[in-house]
Amino acid sequence: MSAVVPIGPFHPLQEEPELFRLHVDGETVTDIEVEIGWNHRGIEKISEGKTFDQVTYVIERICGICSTSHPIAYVQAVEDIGGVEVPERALYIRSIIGELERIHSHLLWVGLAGHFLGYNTVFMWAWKYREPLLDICEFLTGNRNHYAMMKPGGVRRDIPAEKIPQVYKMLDEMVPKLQMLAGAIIDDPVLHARLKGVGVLSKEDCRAYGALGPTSRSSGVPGDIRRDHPYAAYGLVDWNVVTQEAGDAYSKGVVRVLECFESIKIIRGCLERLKELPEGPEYIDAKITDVPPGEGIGHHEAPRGETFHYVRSDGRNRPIRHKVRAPTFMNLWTCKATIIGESITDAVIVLAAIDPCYCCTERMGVFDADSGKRLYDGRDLIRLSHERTRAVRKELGV
Amino acid sequence: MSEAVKTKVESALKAAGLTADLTVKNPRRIYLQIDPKDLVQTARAIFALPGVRFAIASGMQTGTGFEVLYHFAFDSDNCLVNVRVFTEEDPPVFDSISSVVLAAQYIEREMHDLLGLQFRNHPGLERILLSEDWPEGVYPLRRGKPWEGKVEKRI
Repeated sequence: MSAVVPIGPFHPLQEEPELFRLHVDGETVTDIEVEIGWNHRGIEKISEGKTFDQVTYVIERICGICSTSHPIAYVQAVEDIGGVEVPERALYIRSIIGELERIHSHLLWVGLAGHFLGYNTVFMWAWKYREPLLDICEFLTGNRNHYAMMKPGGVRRDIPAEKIPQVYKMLDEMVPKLQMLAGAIIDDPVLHARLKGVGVLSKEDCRAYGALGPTSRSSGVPGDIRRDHPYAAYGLVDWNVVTQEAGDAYSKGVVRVLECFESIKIIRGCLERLKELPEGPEYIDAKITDVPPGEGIGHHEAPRGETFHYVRSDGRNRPIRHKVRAPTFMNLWTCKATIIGESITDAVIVLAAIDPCYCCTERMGVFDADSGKRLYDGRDLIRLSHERTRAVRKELGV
Repeated sequence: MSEAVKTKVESALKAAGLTADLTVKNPRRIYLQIDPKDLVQTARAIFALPGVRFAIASGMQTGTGFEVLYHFAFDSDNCLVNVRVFTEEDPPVFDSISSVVLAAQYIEREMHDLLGLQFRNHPGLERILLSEDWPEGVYPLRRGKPWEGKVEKRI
């Protein structure tokens, strides 16, 4: 018997809105329809009304997990228009922030994947180990997320020498924890049985769908923007691209876990160089005064794959076109290749294996169709949440 | 770098009997302006080259018409090849390259939603980002007078 199983657009298993319609025959998935657009925010249009400096803050808010990926790609696009030389110290700082973000994003995914599989211990561990990282992010940038470190021409804040030992200390403490977590995941017989051979993505499909990041690297495609199109300090320090051959959900997990160690290597290499380079505000910013007419492209290997920004300028102070392509926009469609033929019980982990980041791919507020008034904003949601808490307290009599 | 890629792209286009206006902006970026009628053939010739990856396409409205820029990445050569097509027609119509590059169909749907570009021979040019009750013929990324109509409320 065939049936349609909708997942979403609002579903307790998903942290963000997305609609998947799984066509199933018995327990086997026969087709999948993906509907995006539940969270369209019009960022590209907003960008056209902001100055080049302001855009950096807007696009930092595209995503709450990989928040620095979009600014890194965007500032490079702006620099590409005029061929700006960024000071070396700023390049190292960009890489450090990018890699700190990658580790915390991968740990977040490991936790969620564990949760989807019913491994709540993995979920608790991974998120616990992520905490010191976020503290270091706050220590270096002033914020646990949305670091606001990037600006066209350089970075906004320096990492002074006296802050470096604490980062080393965090990394040293992080390694054994990661090793333990990696061992627990890579050697677990239940995970092997559950994930090996599930949701296999072939090399041909990677190419056809333009798959990116860990999704393609786990299928044996060694593509990594950091190595192929070196930018920031990725061409200046020693590290390796992690690949796996099988292309299944297990390999995707392994790639992410092993990548954390490479990220630590990159951060250490960058910190070593930072100690040698002269410090000071003039060494972190090329001080761009204007952006000439023209077009530029910037890309960055975000935790989920390549983030791609195209910016066009007509010589005034704001972009006339700003195209943003998040990695999930390419990776999401690979589920057409991976999920068909799988059992419905594996659907969630196969969908989760690409680490879909909806807030990047989606870009919608709730508006009244008649008056055009916004129905909910952040304050309303907090108010509703408070009301709900009060109602629960009353019910419990506390 | 760009020299190797430039040679590769030029000979592939020549073999397909195509001419193109090729500009090397810097060692990592090549721009190429083509006639819209050659689009599918050009995409086929470039996408058949080894090591190429379809990155994305950017559609935009310029002062005089509509433009689409298809970005192809040559990862092992650290170079991006950007194929530009332009039309003054309104409604703007281009050929869909999804028969050659499967991944392009989604970005073509996005450009159709946001800019009102039409793509010939597209397998299903449906809405992708905009809501079902978004009015027909209103495109958020187009310039000019803002839309002043009213949406019929559906519950």
